[in-house]
Amino acid sequence: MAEPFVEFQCDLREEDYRVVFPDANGQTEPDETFGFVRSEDEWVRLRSQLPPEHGPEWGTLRRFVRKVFTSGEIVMPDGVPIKHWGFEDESGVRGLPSPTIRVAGGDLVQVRLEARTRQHTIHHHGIEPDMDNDGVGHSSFEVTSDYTYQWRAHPANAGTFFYHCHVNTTLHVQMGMFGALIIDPPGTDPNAPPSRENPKKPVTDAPDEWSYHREAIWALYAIDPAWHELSHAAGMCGEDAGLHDFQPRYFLINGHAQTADGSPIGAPGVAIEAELGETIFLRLVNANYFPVEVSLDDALAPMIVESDGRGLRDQLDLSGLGLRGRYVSAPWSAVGGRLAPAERYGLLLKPRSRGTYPVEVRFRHWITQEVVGVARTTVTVR
Amino acid sequence: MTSATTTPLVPARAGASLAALLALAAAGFAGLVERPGSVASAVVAGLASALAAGWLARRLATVAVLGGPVRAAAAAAVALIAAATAAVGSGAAALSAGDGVLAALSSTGAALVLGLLVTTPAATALLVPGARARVAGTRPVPAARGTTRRGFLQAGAGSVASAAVAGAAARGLVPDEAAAVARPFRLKITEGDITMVDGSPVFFRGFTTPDGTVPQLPGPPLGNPGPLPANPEITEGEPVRVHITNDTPRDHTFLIDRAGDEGATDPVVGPVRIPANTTTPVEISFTAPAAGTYIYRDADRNNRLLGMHGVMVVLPRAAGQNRPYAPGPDRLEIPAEVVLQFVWCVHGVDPVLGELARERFRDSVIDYPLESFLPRYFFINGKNGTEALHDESTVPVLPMQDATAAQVGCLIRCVNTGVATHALHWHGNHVFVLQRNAVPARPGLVFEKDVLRLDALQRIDVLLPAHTGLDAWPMLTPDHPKFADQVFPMHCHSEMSQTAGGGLYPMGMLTDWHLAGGSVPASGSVPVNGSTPAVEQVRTRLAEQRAAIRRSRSARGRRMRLSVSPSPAPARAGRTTRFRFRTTTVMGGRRRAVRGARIRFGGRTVRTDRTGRAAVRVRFARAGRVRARVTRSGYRTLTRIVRIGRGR
Repeated sequence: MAEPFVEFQCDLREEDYRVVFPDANGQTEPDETFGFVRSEDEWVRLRSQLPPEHGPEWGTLRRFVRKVFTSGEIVMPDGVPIKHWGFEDESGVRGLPSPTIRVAGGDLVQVRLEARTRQHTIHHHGIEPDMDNDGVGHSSFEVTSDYTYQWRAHPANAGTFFYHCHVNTTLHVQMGMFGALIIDPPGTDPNAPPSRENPKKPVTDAPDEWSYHREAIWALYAIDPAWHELSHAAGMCGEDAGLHDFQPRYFLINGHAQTADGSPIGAPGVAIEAELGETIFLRLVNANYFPVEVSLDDALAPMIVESDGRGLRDQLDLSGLGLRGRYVSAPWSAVGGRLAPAERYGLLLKPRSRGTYPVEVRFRHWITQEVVGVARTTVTVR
Repeated sequence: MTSATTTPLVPARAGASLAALLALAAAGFAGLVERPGSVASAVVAGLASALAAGWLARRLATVAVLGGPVRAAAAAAVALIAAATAAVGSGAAALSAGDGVLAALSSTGAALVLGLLVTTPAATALLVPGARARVAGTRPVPAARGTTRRGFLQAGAGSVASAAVAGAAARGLVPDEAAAVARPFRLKITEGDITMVDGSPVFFRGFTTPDGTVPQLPGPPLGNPGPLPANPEITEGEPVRVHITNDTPRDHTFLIDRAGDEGATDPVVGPVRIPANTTTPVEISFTAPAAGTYIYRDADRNNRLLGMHGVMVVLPRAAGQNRPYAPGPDRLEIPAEVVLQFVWCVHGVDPVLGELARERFRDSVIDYPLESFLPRYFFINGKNGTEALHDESTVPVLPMQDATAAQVGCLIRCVNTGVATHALHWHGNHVFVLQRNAVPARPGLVFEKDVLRLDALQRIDVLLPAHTGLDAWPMLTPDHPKFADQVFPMHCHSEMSQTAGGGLYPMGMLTDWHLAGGSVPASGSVPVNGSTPAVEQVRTRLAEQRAAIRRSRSARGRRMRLSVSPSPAPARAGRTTRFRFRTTTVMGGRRRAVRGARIRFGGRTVRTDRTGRAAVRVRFARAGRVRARVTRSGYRTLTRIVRIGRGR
């Protein structure tokens, strides 16, 4: 999409405010990045030299491509088209949210961002890389053409993360530049769905009773239509773009908006179906800017086992390597059933009886805490 | 908080023209009042301010729809103030806290009221359970110097440390010499304007030191909030005295509560009434509550939002250096000593509420419902996202070390004095939740988070372990080219809070933390305040950046404008284009050319001619954002962004 010539009058002094961040132009050659790993063989050789607590036996090199697109459009239930942006994956798949990145613990992950013409980054939210691979303009650089982010999913930690653009973030994340990032425990095939025959575990070295057979990833998201008319750098030169005032009108789970009649969203990937006796793992990602309450039926017995990519433990494990204490779970009510913006929770559901259980996601105003919108779906147990 | 002004181009949403018209009318009025006979310039200034007050559009549009008298009055007041600011002539940028016509107006008003009011006998101060409030004698309390348990920042940043000590001493909060009788913490209730990062003055009510003139955000700390050594510490169970004076013509209250609710549900102190115009201090004595983080505040929500809040830090008895609580059987065990501690007080500011407070300066309580509150500026420790990145009492700089060591990381006391739900997100490390509202975490359930939900009035103390970043590849070893200083942001993910004045990402609720490489002594013991040589290098650099910002802020200069016309237009990548520039400035109400300005663009440098014009022929290989930079002595440097579209 050719951009028209846009004028910005920046009276701000750059040296004061660093509104314009450094750019990384054309880092197409991998060896321009310090420590960039070029092949699986090289990776296996490097990791096998690691000390035991860093899991020298785990991980393969996994490459992803995320191309920025700004021409997305999604039609709301009332017929209103909403423009959105996002990341297109290596096989040309687009979506709102953007396609999930899924790896296993120990993997070396290389995500090639193709920003094309304008500044973008990818911040792998919850991952702890070095600062150049953290995707934040003021602490590293923004990307105008392409850059390959590299980090290793430490084998000690698996769980629910997400990735998003960190340029003019207030706008860009709302425009749809986010997707789920899931890390399976080491030794798991991230591309194989869980099943009765091949159950998965939510965190590294989880107890057997935490194995799950069904899985859902819900991106909880709300749209303020006015923001979706704004341009890439809205507000960056001091104009009032209204980005302090979020007024969402549409409420979505995984890009599926709640209809006005209040009927539950039945789309695949949202509505959950399972058989009695199966364990469901529900990953919640709050991708909007208001706190969200997820109301789950008691019969589903929702238990938190993981949050922000870390298992819950009974002791303080300052190393982050699982050296102290053991895993515990807590009822969903322990956190009031609420997620702050960008929080993630991994819930194990062990339905006790058959039935269709309604789920209501309530988006609450960040100040008044009033419910400003809901999204409904169901969990069906046969 | 003084900073450059911006000239917005387009008010963002509908209703802008209405706002512009109203503001223009108000500007004309203000101009007449301020400079009789100069209506034309006032109108020009008014137009500028109407644009500057573009955010009014939405508020005024709401007013037009709802017709609420409160909103209408407030919005009109804001328009008037914005206009008056512009009409002063020097522009909002030159208007530092407390300067200009605004402060003059408000102080005149205050004087008027002072004359009208009969001074309330201070003996009417309320007596409340658990706290004793009385008016202290007129004998001034001498300031004393001393040391704290936590020690001083070490040499290497000596100038920084001494400056900090001097600053703290100037704030009137210095430690006891003899701990036998606790010296009081002294606070003064005041009001005044503080200039936001976009140049807008905002009116606050707040606490300050006895010699302060404008509110401090947050108010002066009770106890020692962080790594700086100058404040006396408060230890649980010890007596605490606070002396409060009130410079304003209205009563206020003082409340410290254990719970995190609006109103007093489990008070340590108060609410104690602080009568209007009290120059002899009201003395408040109480026993320090359980170790933890507390908020002191006016019990009224809107006064708290207007700035009447501060933080009290109570340290545990008989515990390590920076622990949030003493060990106990039903308390989560912290298996290490903590190197540093900080307070991060987060707050959101609604200028409309400020204008109401300016207008209703006699009213102790302002009627402004929660639904009306629309924060437009966001702070950590009273600082926007630019200032907080360099602030020594906000930015943790920590030695990079093994998190299994005997001393790790830092304690961060996260305090929400506003009303919004914030979501503090750490890059680089997860944090551990240790204490909520001064109640230690219980063993058996530990949350390790990268996002911390922080609701209104909550105080959550977390431990940032400051380990090397588990997922870093290349790993953060001495071989890493940026081993010396790894910078990670911490910001709120309720992303509205990342803005200032409706845009200006990321000048809201944002700061950084630093991991400084270099060797830690082999014993595993970290020096006091984590002052390894590598850490001190980073701290010194931050101090230099702070000083540089201060210098550039204080540099006055005329403002330029730069227009760019590409030919052929629009500019596209891969095509040689002639970019014509014109530099102008406003002088005597007229736009004039600026000759001799140096323009750097596309790797070339040109100077403008007598008509302010210059041209550059250049071909850009890639589409994107290109900067044009204009400099001239006596003028502020200006950076323009020029978009280069994709080639066909």
